[in-house]
Amino acid sequence: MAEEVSSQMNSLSISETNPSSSATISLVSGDDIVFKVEPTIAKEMETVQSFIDETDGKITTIPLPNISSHDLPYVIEYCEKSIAGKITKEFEAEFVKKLNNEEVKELFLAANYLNIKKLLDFLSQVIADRIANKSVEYVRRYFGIENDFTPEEEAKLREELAWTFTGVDPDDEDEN
Amino acid sequence: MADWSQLPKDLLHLISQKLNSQFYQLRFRSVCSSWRSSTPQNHHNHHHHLNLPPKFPNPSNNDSTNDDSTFPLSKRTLFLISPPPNQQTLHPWLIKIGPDSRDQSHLWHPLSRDKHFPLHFPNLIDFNQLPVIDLGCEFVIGNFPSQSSSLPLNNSLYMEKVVVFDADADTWQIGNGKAKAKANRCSVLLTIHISGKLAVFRCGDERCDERWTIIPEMLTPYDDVCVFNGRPVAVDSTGRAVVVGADLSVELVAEPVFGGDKKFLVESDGELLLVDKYLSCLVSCLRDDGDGEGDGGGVYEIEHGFAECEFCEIGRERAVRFHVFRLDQKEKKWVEVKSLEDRVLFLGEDCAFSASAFDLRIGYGNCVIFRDDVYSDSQSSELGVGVFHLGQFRIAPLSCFPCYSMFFWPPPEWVGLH
Repeated sequence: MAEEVSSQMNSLSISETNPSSSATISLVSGDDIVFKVEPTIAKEMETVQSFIDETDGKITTIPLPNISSHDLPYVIEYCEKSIAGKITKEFEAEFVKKLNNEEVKELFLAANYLNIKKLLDFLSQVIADRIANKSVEYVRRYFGIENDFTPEEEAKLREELAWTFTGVDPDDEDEN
Repeated sequence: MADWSQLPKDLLHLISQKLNSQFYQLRFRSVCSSWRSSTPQNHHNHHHHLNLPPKFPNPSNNDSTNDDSTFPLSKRTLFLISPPPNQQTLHPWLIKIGPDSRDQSHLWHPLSRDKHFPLHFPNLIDFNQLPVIDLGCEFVIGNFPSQSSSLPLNNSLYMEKVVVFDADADTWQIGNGKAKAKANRCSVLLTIHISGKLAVFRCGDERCDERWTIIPEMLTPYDDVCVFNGRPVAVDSTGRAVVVGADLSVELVAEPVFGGDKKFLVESDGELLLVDKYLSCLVSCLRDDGDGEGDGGGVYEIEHGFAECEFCEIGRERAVRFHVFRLDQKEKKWVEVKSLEDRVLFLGEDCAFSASAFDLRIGYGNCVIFRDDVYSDSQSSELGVGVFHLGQFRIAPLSCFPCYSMFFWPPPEWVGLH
């Protein structure tokens, strides 16, 4: 049994870029689940890294109250790929497929909170793709936003977004 | 749960600038008042491009001194308008919308420069309520719709497809959202001169010369231009493709493929495709074999390159097939594509674009839809449009493909234009 565990540990450490580097970092999700990650992963998360730097590396357990244990593994997965230089179109496509709308929004906020520029940029593209061709009403539902425009503002919006066709000019009728 | 109506400005900005169309950005601003106030309106309206002079000289007749030889530039957008979400069984509507030369909005045939659809009473299409896909835009220089009786000459001038993009004046790095100094921005027009050479017009920056510059480099005349991945690309009649740099140098993107008679560039699902159109000529032979019955004559069809017989009269050209290639950017070559899967390619006069069969709500894609005058009916004002199905290797007028013909005209009833 013990052997099995250690061989699993071995296979895990192979995937890390530098297994002999300093102690792992513990990330604690909002719902109190601890995720142990290599310091290189922490480096990808600017918020975490600056916390470590401020304490001269003495503190290696970092609470992340805004991030759930559901979302954190996705963030870690993305950071691992990023370090390995394996962020390909295929990977991104697969990654997005796994995420529902709610998860995309949560991860976007998580990436912002952790200050992971690449992930934030990527997720903003994902959100943009998901709302691009949808009606305004759909976008409101997507984000849970109430329409708070006054009727006057609404009229102005309509003007901006609608095309008005004035009909055929008398001159055009002369054409034939 | 986060309140997305109160999203910080920089995050809203990050998302909105990923929306690759002005139309989508406009709609993003219409979600709620906080989003509206934090996402500035880039353009005073979505009908026009900024930084552009209202009138341009014709590149094949570069004389801007005289007002009679400059023509308005108009931008038109191709929309695929889907039925309301509760009416999924209905089919969508493909339409091109943009101003005419007098700044009045018109509905244009998606594949035509000049053909527009008449509306006999004032109408409004409210894009707030409908799912709309922005399939691309086109720019035309000239007075449209042309009024043959009152405005002679204007539109008989030779004018190829024009592409327009905003770019950094020095690098032609096209806006990727980074807040670059506005002063550095310029707008660039790229088209093909009557000689077959490329012509460029730069404006908006004080260093721009605001005139057409002909790029002397040309091995064989150019056939088509487009903007792909933010870079202006041109293809010549052999299929050799180049990218045009800010210094007006050209750099090879793909080696020639030869083959057909007319090359088109079209972006589909993030890839650049080359569509090669093969033409044949309809030939009327007037030869009489002497028996007085005149049965030696007739109408024949020949592929290009056929040696003409002295009695033959070459008639109209007709597309007989298409081959499609995909750009391999690393190898700098075109790779033949056997199937377009669920994509449908549209080859218009001023814009080539693509859509998925899924978005079009039809059972199959793998088709090229193109303009072909051979299919136009001289009796009606119907525009000639043909369809080539890659899998079946079949070519036929649009009317033979009912599921395709219904996206065009008339608009479906749910649009509310009836």
